Amino acid sequence: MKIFLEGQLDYIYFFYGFSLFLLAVICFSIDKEKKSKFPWFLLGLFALANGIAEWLNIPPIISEKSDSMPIFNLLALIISYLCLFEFARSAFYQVKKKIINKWIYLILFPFLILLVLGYKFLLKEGFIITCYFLGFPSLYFSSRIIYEFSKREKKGKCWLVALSITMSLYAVSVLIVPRASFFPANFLNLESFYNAFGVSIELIQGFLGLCAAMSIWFYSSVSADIRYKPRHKIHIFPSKWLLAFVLVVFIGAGWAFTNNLDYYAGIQIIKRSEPKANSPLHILTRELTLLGKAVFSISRNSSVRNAVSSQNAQDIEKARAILNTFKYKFGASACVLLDARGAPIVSADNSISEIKIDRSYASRPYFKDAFSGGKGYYFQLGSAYNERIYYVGYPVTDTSGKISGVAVIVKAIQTEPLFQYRLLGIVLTFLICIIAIIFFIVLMKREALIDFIEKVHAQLEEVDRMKTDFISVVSHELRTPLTSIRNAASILMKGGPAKRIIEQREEELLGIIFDNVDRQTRLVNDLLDVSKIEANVMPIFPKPIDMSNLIKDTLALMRPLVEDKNIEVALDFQSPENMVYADPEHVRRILNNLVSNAIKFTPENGRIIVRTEDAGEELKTTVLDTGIGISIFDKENLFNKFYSSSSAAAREKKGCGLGLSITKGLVEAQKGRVWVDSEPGKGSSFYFTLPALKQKRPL
Amino acid sequence: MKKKILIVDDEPDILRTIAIMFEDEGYDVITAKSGEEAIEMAYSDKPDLIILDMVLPGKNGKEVLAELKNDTSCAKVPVILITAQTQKSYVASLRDSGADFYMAKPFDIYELRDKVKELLSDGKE
Repeated sequence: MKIFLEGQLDYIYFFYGFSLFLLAVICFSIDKEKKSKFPWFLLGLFALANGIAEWLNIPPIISEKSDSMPIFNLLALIISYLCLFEFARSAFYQVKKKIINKWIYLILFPFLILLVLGYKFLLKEGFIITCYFLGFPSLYFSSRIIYEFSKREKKGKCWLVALSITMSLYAVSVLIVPRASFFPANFLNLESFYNAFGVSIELIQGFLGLCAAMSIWFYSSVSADIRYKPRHKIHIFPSKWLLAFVLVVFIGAGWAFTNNLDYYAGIQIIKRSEPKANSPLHILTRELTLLGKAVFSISRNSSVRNAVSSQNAQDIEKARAILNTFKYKFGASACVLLDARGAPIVSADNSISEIKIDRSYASRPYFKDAFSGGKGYYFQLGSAYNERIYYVGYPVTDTSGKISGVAVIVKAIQTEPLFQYRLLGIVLTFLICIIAIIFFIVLMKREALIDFIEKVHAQLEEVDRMKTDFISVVSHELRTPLTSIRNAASILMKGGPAKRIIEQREEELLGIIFDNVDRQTRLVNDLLDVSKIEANVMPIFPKPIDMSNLIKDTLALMRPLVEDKNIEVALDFQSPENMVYADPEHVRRILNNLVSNAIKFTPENGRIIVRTEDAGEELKTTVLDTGIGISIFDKENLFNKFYSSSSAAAREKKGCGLGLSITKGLVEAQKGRVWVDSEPGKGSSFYFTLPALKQKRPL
Repeated sequence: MKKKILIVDDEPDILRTIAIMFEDEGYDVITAKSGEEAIEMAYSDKPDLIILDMVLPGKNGKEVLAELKNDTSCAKVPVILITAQTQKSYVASLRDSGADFYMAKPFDIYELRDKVKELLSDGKE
């Protein structure tokens, strides 16, 4: 099973850190406009700090100097888990709206103390305790919170669940720690995991990090608020698949680089025929040749062969002496004789602890190959902990010439490990990944830019269309009264053949002229007002005014119209004070527009209510009618310039469509709001607010 | 027999002035305020000439015209279009619509009268 990225621990750590950095980048870049303020930023900080912690593992591995846990590694790890805990804490607040007291951090003080102590004494233990008591709980807590959060989200729910599952798996994975003497680290540790599954946990953790990054990425792209749909589809790379492709290619490239660069480097050295005595390849060749010779010598030694054949104590002791000699002569870490079943018969003293008498090594390749005979030497690079241990086996024949055992020498060969080439591989991969990410970000920006341009383009098109509409409506609206005026005037002036009829109609024709001149004047004034409102130069002279008086005045002016249609008008002042701070002329205009609209659209014997209400800092005025009401579609466009309803009933009541647009402009220019509520067929309510003026109450 | 003219416009004042003009000239004047009303009256009252505004509630002038031209009984009735639009493209589209004449607002009502007389006398021959 131990085939997956064997001997690539440096690369595994690189990949692990890289996946966490990717997670961080994605967390940092997640759409900030999103309504839910989920603290992805903190998750990003966790990933960043954790990624740094993992990358701190690389230098000691590459230089093969030490595998001890550096203090900065532990520091980065603790910071990362604190960020994660804070993430879970604020996410808990976002999801449940309950605050977890910040004093919970008090219980984290022991970790800081551990850190201080750990510098000298408890580095490994500090690391393990951090994983158990800080890493696992915060990861588990976060995964639970993300799961709760996923229940509330409509879009991208499955990706959040995937993220939650990934986090819980990660939580379990941090329980697998370096070997230590206490429970449970003494049996559940990195080494036992590697021996059981043949894959190092760091590699799995790297993949989990990658999965988490992908989940968040897909979640953010699925749940993105699509307010604007491009009308012209622009063909660019489908970004998320491009990202996946880039990742697969470059992670693969990184593996290939680190795996093969030292091999190629060795070939290059031979090709350039630079036989340096101390070049790594030469040292290795020399050492292995020597070991091969040594193990061959052992296998031919008569005491050793006797020991294999007879296995009696005397022969074994003799063989041990031989093994000891070879062990010291060649500086081997172990020298052992295996029997036909792969069990050690005898080993040189002070052998490394791994060679245990009660264990069988029958499954090991160096045994199998040597024992199957004729294959000669077998060199194996032990790689579990990135030590370059070479196993050299050679078959031992017994006195009858049958292969009945294997002599094995185990030696850690300290060559210069071509580490510069491995480092080069990692650096190359790193650079390529950075370039890929930059490229990707540029692509994203470009996409956003194209989106933005399209949006602006659509807005401009809309403005252009509105302008064209405006001109055609204005021209129609201006020409209509002119036509009436001109027709009436020319009939009055030139007359027709039957003067009698025209004379009878003289008054009516003059009336038409006056009405239409008025209408034209109103229209021109309205247009001027609209342009002033749009240019934001509408003069406003606010002063304290009593709304109830203004409403009464307005209704008094409307009385003839109201009486004409027999409409009942009710006043309803719900607040004793109706003072507002506004321009009385504009307020009169607003009231006039709304009330005359209400009268216009209310059938005979209808009802209109004008109501004022105290709404805190504002005074809310409502004009409620029992007219034809407004459809949902109209409601959206009602306050737009020149909008008049498409419904036939509304069109019968002519208007140029500027009234409500001006009303809205005037209300908003005075820091108020205007809106409408309506049910078609039953009536509508128009509301507007103006800043209230509260009289100071006597003390 | 008095010639009957159907005037279609949603602006009461324009309708009124044209009606006064043609009543004075001795025509029988009927008026309609919407496209649907105009089609109905064109079938029932059989006018000799129709003056049709383009902008109407419900069916607009163009639709009314198309419907009348499709009907055998009304197809030969001369139609004068009145429009507030003066853009070239719009005017060109009116030329192909089957109307006999069009006038842009604000028009000279005497020009309209002369045109109506001309079209109606053509019908006589």
